[in-house]
Amino acid sequence: MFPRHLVLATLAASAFLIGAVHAADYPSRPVQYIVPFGAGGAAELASRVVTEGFTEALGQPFVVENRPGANGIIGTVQGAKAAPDGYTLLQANGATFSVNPLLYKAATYDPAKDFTPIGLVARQPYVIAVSAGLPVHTLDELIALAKEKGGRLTYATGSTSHQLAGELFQKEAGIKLTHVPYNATNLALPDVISGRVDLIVTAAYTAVPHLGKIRPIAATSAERAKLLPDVPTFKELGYPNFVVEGWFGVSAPAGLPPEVVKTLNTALNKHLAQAKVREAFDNAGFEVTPSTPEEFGSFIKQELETGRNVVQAAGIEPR
Amino acid sequence: MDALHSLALGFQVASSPLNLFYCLIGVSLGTLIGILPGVGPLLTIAMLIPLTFGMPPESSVIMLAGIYYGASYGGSTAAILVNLPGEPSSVVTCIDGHQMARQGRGGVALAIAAIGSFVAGSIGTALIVLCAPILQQWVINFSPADYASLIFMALIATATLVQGSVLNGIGMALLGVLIGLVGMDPMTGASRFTFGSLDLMEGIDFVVVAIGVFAVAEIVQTLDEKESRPGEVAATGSIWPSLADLKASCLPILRGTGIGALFGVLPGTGPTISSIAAYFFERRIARDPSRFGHGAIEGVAAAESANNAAAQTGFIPTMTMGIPGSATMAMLLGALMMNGVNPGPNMIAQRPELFWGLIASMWIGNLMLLILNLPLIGMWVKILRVPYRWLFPAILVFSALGLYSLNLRAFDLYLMLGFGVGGYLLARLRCEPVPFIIGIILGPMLEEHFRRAMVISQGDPSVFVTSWLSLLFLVLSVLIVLLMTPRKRLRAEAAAA
Repeated sequence: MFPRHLVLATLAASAFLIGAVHAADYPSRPVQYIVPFGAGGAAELASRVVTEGFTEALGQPFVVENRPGANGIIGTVQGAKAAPDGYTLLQANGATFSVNPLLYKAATYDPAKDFTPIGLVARQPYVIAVSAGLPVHTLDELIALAKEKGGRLTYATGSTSHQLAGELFQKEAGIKLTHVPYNATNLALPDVISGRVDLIVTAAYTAVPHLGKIRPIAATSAERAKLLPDVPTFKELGYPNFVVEGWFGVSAPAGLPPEVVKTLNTALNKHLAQAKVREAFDNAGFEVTPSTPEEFGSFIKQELETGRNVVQAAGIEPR
Repeated sequence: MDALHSLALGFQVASSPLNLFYCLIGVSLGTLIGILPGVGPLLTIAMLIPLTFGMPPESSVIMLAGIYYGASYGGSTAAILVNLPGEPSSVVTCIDGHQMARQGRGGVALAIAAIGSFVAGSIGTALIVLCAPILQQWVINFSPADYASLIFMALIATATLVQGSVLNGIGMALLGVLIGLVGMDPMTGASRFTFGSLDLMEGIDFVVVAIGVFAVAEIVQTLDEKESRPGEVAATGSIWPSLADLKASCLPILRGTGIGALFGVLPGTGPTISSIAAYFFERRIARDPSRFGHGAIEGVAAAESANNAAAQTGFIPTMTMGIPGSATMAMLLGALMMNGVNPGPNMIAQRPELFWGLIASMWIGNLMLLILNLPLIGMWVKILRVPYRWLFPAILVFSALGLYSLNLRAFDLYLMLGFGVGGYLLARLRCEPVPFIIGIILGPMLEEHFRRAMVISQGDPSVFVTSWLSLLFLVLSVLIVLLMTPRKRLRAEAAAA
């Protein structure tokens, strides 16, 4: 039989060890995953697929917490300020990481410095589409018409990321359009289908059910959208700098221990490699693009740079 | 013939034991969350979506849809019993429904709301089968100018047709519009009236104001009335509507259903506008409009049938065009897409079992809701017999919990208290809270559509009169004011004499 004090000492020592190198047995309690938007929307749905993967792989519940407010700023600020212990993760996406800091003074975070990138999850290609009644079929025809109308062509968007693509289009093509903002793309569709608004910038998957009533002219993504393989990209059409995509990934507050980053990135990429997961994302119009934490970090920097150029060229001041 | 055949297929799908089971889960859950203030169908559906991945798509959409329309049954319960509108579409139900409860006719009000909702739900379902293509076209034809004028009319109707003077009503509505404008500018994203507060950037949630102005203010007010001793609110009369009640409600239910079915298809505005329109339409054509606001059963019947009919026909644009009218509908659409179904013009042809199964399940679900709700009414009404000293703290706790769960921030609770105090002062000054609340809901919508119409027309305001729909709504608004002003003045003079 072991002397009792020895047993106690061993227990105490192991308890101490658990406390000290907690990264080794991370996670030992539930993890909250902040989504900086309210319930609803494809990105929020997709984040639930991601947390399901973490839960399965790491054996602790990863719980989605919707923290909506101020276009995603409130939840993102909370994510930046949380303790970097791996028990608070944040959904990073195009709107909160590459658009908001440029448009709103209230977005006090620096996407490149205040967060630890964990991994990119998926990208979402956008298209610029015209109402079927508009007599243009190619990008050149569209640009010619816009020049002829001198700013009277209208374009609808349902999010600030789509608007960014619209602003970039005007900058690159040297044209002027009138912007008609909507709270969500679905609310813009009746006006575009009926021809009251001439153009729309939207995700490729939103455009697919309405083909015939709206006509995609060009994709804003680096590669053609899987859902619309016949629609050429701006890149192909002679605009090498024109790449705007929706995207989302997983991030954490700055200073997350590297072991935890590795654990999370491995679990994430393993989950994303599964056929059924890819299929669920495909169906919702997302193209799965796993990455290493370093790749994701430089991706964020590059996105921010693109956004900054557009916003400066359009003369938009942060509000 | 074709429609009948399709419907038969639908009932075959919907009445499989598995789908009946999911339908029951959906509607029960919907009723429950409808009763709790704050917790809405949107959040519930979002949380349940990951669970639906392994399920057949028909079953999952049947369950999620059940949550959606089940919530409107539960919503009326809270509105009638404790004056708590959990959804914008049940604000007008409070007006007469809660008065009925205070007169001891809460059971009758609940029964009529359930029966009206059932009739409206059934007719709404039938309308989807028959008129989906026609109504679908109607949605596309509505321009931002038409929306702006329709919302303007609803606002004017609310402001002028409630109790008190027209000026008072319009003033309260404008005050509501002002509160509604707090937050980000919908066109430019600039912050307005936020005083640098991040919490105010997203605007003031309608639920926060509604709970403050209706529930909290009501509680303070009741404490103020020294005569009405706690526990003796009103004798609870019969739970079942009398023959006279049924007779009085019959036509309002049908008219409410018609209005609800028509406006329900419009994205963004559906159930709210239709319940307001149905309520004030009833009031306008009533032989004795003065009963409204004092427990007129027609008001409850019309408003509740309208919002339920609208909830059903709201599926038309979502399912047939892939254009969801509300965030909840967008969520349902997302759930379908993640399950590999693409809603849109081709869905009915490609997945008939899913579309018709859903339609049939809505009818079955409405029947389940009626069966679930009628026997429960006796239980709900007992809540009214609970002495105030127990009931009021409980209402406050549940309201606060529900509210906190919306955005997880304490700021909303302070706002609720602030609006509670404000609501009490307004009640003391005999200012109507209903136009105020409706102003908060409709103000931002009006601004959004008005400005959008102006941007699209490149700044030419004539769009509001060149579109005949818009012109019609504007003319109706003017008529409402002209018709109501002299009548109210006469009544006021008669009272003074």
